[in-house]
Amino acid sequence: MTADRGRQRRTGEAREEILGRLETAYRAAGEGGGPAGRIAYALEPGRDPEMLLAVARERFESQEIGYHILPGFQSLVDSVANHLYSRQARLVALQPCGLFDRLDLRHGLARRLPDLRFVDAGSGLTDVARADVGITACEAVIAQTGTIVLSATKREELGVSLLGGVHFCIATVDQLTADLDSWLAGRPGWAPDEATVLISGPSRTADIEKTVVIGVHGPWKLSLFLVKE
Amino acid sequence: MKVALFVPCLMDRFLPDAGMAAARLLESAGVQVVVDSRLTCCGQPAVNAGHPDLARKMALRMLKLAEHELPVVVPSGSCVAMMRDSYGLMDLSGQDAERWRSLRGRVFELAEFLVERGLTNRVTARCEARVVVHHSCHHLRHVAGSGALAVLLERLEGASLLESEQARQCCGFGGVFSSKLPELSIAMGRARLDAMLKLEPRYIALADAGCVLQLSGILEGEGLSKRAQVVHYAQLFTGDGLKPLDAGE
Amino acid sequence: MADLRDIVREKLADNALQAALARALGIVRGKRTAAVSELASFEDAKAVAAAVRSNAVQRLKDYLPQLEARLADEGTHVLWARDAAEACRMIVDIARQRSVRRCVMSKSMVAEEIGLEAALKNAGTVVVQSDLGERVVQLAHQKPSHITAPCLHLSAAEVGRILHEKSGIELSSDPEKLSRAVARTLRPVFLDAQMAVSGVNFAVAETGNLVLVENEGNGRMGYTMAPVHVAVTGIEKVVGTLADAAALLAVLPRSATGQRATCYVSILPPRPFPGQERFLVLVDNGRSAAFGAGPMRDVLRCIRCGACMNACPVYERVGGHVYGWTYPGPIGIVLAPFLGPQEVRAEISDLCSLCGACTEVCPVGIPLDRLIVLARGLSHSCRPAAVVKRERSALEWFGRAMGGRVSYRLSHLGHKLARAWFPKKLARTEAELGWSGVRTAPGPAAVLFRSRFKRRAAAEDGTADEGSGGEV
Repeated sequence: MTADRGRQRRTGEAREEILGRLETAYRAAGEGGGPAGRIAYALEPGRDPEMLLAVARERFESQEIGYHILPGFQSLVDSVANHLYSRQARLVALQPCGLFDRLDLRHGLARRLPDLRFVDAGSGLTDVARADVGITACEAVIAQTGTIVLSATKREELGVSLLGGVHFCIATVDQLTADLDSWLAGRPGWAPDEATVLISGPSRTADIEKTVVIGVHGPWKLSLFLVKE
Repeated sequence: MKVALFVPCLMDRFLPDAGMAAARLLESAGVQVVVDSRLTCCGQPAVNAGHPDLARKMALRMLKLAEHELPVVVPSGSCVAMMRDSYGLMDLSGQDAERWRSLRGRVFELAEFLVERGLTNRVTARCEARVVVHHSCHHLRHVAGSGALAVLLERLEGASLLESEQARQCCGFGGVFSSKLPELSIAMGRARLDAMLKLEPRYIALADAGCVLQLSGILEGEGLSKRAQVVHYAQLFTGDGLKPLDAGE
Repeated sequence: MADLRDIVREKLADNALQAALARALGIVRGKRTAAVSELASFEDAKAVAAAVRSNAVQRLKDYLPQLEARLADEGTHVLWARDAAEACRMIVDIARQRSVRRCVMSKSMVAEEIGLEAALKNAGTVVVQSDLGERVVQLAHQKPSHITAPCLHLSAAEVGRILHEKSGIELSSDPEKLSRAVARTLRPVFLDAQMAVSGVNFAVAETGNLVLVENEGNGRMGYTMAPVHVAVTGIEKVVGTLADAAALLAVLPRSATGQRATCYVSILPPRPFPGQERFLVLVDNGRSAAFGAGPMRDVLRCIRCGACMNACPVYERVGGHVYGWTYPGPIGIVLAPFLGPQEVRAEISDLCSLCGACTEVCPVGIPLDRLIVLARGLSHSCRPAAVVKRERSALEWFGRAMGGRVSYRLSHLGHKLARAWFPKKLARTEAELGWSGVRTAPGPAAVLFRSRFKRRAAAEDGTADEGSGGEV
């Protein structure tokens, strides 16, 4: 791999040169700047669950995120099954996660919709890409910006919320948090292999004449099932 | 109270009525006005063209001549911004830096001065006309905001004050810009005027001589001078140079 | 390069362009205003974001090695490139060694800046732009005219024609039909591409995360599907912590597209995904020069939201192509002295009336209009010496005319006499200065303000030196 070694040498030189220039200019200018502080919003929901939900609902509506607030997990499985049925979903990809295992979501759905097929856990991306609907759980729901926070360590898992035309996300009301800052502050730490995706609506573009079009490369439909339990 | 009124070059040479109006507006607020005829130009054209070295001499002259205790009042936001901020590009040192520090603290745009010193309640004036107010960029963004002018204009009785939806957008003057890319400069001005003329004003009031020349030049060039008159806002208070309602050309 | 004034004239006369600009900017300005109003105070938010960015820029020399170490420890390859050619060479090498036939590119301004698409193509790799607007300009063999909306200069009908001719998509002028159709043509490309190239919005020094901001999902498709992911970015895109990135995320989409948050923000971990290789290419290409250029250092704060060009009254009239390179609008003017091609550096700073609308909306507090004045100073060395000399002589003449009481009055008198005696010659000069025809040049006052003021004072109290009206 002489080519690789050549590249390393070149970037080594480039690295030293770039950092050298920064160092020189830095010495000439000296250190500056102070602490940045926090960005405040006109409407701050704080920690009150009712306020958080009210703000989040308003955001979901203006960002074309469908949401269904459910009293408990029992009605959740029914509700998800109904929505899959009305969308005529045939193949579903489920994110592997503890919540779905505990709910036994796969069997619950299969019982209610005998024709429904599932992308097998451990399948490749091309299989995930064939699914009509991807169903995921989430880490948190951010009220201020109407954002669902997902995380995953594998590309196949990330594909579940991206590759199907429809994305269903399941969350509980106690996962609501005020804003990105409050979510970051509550996180214990960052795993070096974990990707996080903040999703604030179905995929969209406004590249042609600034006309908003929903549904481009990612899902055209995003629905959140929010369980009060 | 006594102030040194600096009527900058463009206004002095092309819009003397606006200069007189600025003086008389100050006087109507009980301010004694003196004018130093040695003061000519703050040096803005050269700085804006990217040649601060060529403006340095003018800046130094300005600083030396304005070395007194009086507030310096200027009916032009862009010249105030120049003296307050852009003189910082001149690498001033020693006595000159001292002079700049002193001037920075007592140079004011006209409306800004009247509002900051609480003098607007002494001003009473009538102007029975539809007036479209257009914000001059430097006045708006670097000097006084839109607040001072609004407070002052409240003292104008009888006027219906209007703003077009483009009231905060550049008229296209921009000093050397107007000569380097004239078609663009004019297109910008035309768009603002079109929006303003829809409101059928008698007067279009601005806060900087350059903007007045730009918009009145286009109105005249397009043969629209009869539709409205472009003025400095001070003229609304004193009537200096205002054409009567039906006089037209 | 054609004369800037001629290009501007052409754009002003292009009715389709004028209509496209008016429509698009009208929409995006309105949305920005609404989105920003959800912040407690834009000025306060701006101060926070400005502090985040200026701290990051100031500490680049510490943050870059920190970022590099975090990434390298977890297996992401970090490459440094001094200039565009070096960056392209590295990425072409990566593609070659892995026999990459097809590469999908999601919107990256740095890739655009360094000419990566052409470099990969020359090396035999098929490059497909996957952002909708980028794909349209790629198919039309054009350049983007805006940093967040590449085909903002085109009407839906023009886009429809281009897509029909170049991509066989059914002729339409419906943005929805067109957008969906393009997405359908790209799906198989994503499934098949061996390499994905993306930009980076923020690289987090403390944790080694790469943050990617987008709406369409094409960026996610790229890094999810391809076995090789090359992220290319400018060295200034580093921030200290995820909290810093969060502060910027609060202002970036609001300023860019008037959204609270874009549909997707990907926070990639420092460790590549299983079965994937990841590279981060850090491009200097003039940025360290900007770092060393005194007050111009502030240009490195930019987060590429495009708010400055959306607000700009010049951009509004001429569109992005007039600026002649990757970055149009006010930010393009202040980046050009460091990142821009030589031929652009001469005249680009003329495209500004110094109104300051850009500075007002910049979410990271870059004093753009003030820096444009400095950029004008830097442009002289790139312009023909004779042109600069002519400009300087004119200003020197002006300086002399303004330089004293006598010369001031003489020059005014001269103007009056010229008007009376040589009206044609004066008219020619005025026309050269652009003040003729549809914009009449002002005539010199019969009597200067200063003289009128003095005379009035003299008439009132018999003296010109004391009391109201006296000299200082």
